[in-house]
Amino acid sequence: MNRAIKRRKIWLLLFILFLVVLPHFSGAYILYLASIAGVYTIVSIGLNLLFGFTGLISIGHAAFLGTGAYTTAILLTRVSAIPFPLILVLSGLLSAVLGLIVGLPALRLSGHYLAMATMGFGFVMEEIFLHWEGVTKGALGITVPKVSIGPILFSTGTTKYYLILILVLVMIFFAKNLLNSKTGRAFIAIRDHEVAAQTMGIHIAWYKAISFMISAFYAGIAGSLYAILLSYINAESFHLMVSVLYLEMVIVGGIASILGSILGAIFLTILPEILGAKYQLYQIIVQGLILVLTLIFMPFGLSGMFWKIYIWGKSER
Amino acid sequence: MMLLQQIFSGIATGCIYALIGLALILVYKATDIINFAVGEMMMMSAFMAYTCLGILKLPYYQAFILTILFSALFGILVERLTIRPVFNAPVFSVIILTFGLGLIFKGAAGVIWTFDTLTLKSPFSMEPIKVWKFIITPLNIGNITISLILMLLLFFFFKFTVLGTGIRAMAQNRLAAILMGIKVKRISTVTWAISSMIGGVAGILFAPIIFVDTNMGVVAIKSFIGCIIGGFGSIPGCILGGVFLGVIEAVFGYYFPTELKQTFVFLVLIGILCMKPTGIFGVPKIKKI
Repeated sequence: MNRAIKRRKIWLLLFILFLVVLPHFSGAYILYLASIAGVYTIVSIGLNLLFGFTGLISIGHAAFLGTGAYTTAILLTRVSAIPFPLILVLSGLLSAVLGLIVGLPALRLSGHYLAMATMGFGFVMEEIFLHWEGVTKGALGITVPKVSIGPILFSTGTTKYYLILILVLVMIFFAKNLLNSKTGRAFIAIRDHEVAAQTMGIHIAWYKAISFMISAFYAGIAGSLYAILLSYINAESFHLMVSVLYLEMVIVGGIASILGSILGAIFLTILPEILGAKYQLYQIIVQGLILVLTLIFMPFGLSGMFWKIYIWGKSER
Repeated sequence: MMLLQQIFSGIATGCIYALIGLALILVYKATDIINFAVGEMMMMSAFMAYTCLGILKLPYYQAFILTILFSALFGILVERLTIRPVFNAPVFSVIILTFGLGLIFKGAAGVIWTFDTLTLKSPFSMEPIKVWKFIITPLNIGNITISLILMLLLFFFFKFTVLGTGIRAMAQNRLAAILMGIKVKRISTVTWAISSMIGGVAGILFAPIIFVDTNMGVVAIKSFIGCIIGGFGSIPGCILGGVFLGVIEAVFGYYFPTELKQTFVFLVLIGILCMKPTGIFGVPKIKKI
């Protein structure tokens, strides 16, 4: 057992090392894709904490992402004196507060109602991004200026990539630790049986709200990074379909699995690239098919497949 | 007076929401699944109606019957191919699966037919006529009448036929229904077929008003909201909720800028959910442990 963990740790380190040296031998486009996949990884981990581990659904997650992105963009364009790390945290926190506001009705709603309420929230936020022109500049969008931490200016793809990589690692580390804590165990208990969890003394309302907040915080951070990475945002980037894409990442990757979220985010980022230009026409068909086929044939997603193969490889030896 | 006028046109729109809501509730009651693809299934039927009327130039009644048959078949296919394999999966997975189905239909309709907006003619005239002080179109009256007839037919079907009773039994308690010898899987197929047929009727009736294109299914979101306002799971609630939504939307659109309409609708939804989480006519589900 100990050896298995050690070997896994070595693989993990090797993978991180690979990611660190990636900019030295890959083109700008690959690097950009990797950065986008990183941003998506953060969102889908956050969404997985909510959906996979706590059992609450959110079909309006792009709205949280949008909140983070717009907070960053507006703070950077209107207020110049705030250092970037603070902006990043503020984006996450504002999104988290919004998550709490949405989460409060969620304490009373279950299942289908929650799906509709979050979807409604997504719609409302999209309208706000589009029509509150005084702040969000509506359909024109906002061009995000370059940011810097101390002497480091995040202007090139490589520097942005490293920024995102570090934050992805931090967020994964945080999620892993959270799941091994009292809070994480409470999430899982609520998902598995709400009444049983309550009789064990778990404060359901509190933990559900916390789960929504953490998930929204992740989305807010991801949104902030998204704004920095693309240097331009408008309301279209936070459409309902984008929310569905995030849910799809969680499901295709594997419900209730951090590894799954990473795999799902990477898979759905590179898929359009593999399919090429023809993808545009068939985009939604492919997206829908993947979702449907995953749910029918591999309900535990890519990570489920991964572990199946892993265990199968073990037993062969 | 203008207000009454708005209310009337609101009822006409509300009937769309109510009909699609009915298609939704039916599947929900019998199988516990929320079919997020209901709007897209309606869209497929509307495109089929366009094929019959616009391309094949069939008479209206033939096109109507063909489209309904197509819808039923389509519903059965969807159920057999995608819902049956996940019959015992958790509800959330199935809900998301229907989301995926919606995406597939949307793309497929665009590839098979077109991504452009098409118009469909109606047997009723669109020319407004003046009745007393109101200006109404025969189209609206015809649509409301047909919707009402359909709702009545469904009511009798559920109340007085063996199949309808079977669906109601399955809705009440699936396990008990199985024990009573009701073939739940067959009922599930039948329910999907009926639901798809209702969607098909809605598609033909309202295509002249809301136009045929791949984004037509968005209307279904409104009917979800109507159902939730009325109380998810109650059939009269879903009809009244849909009509109510149509009316408040029309009245709101009369007094305020229309861009805010969507936001307003969702605010109403969230407000009602906060005050009465099960909707106006809904009864809270009591879970026995």
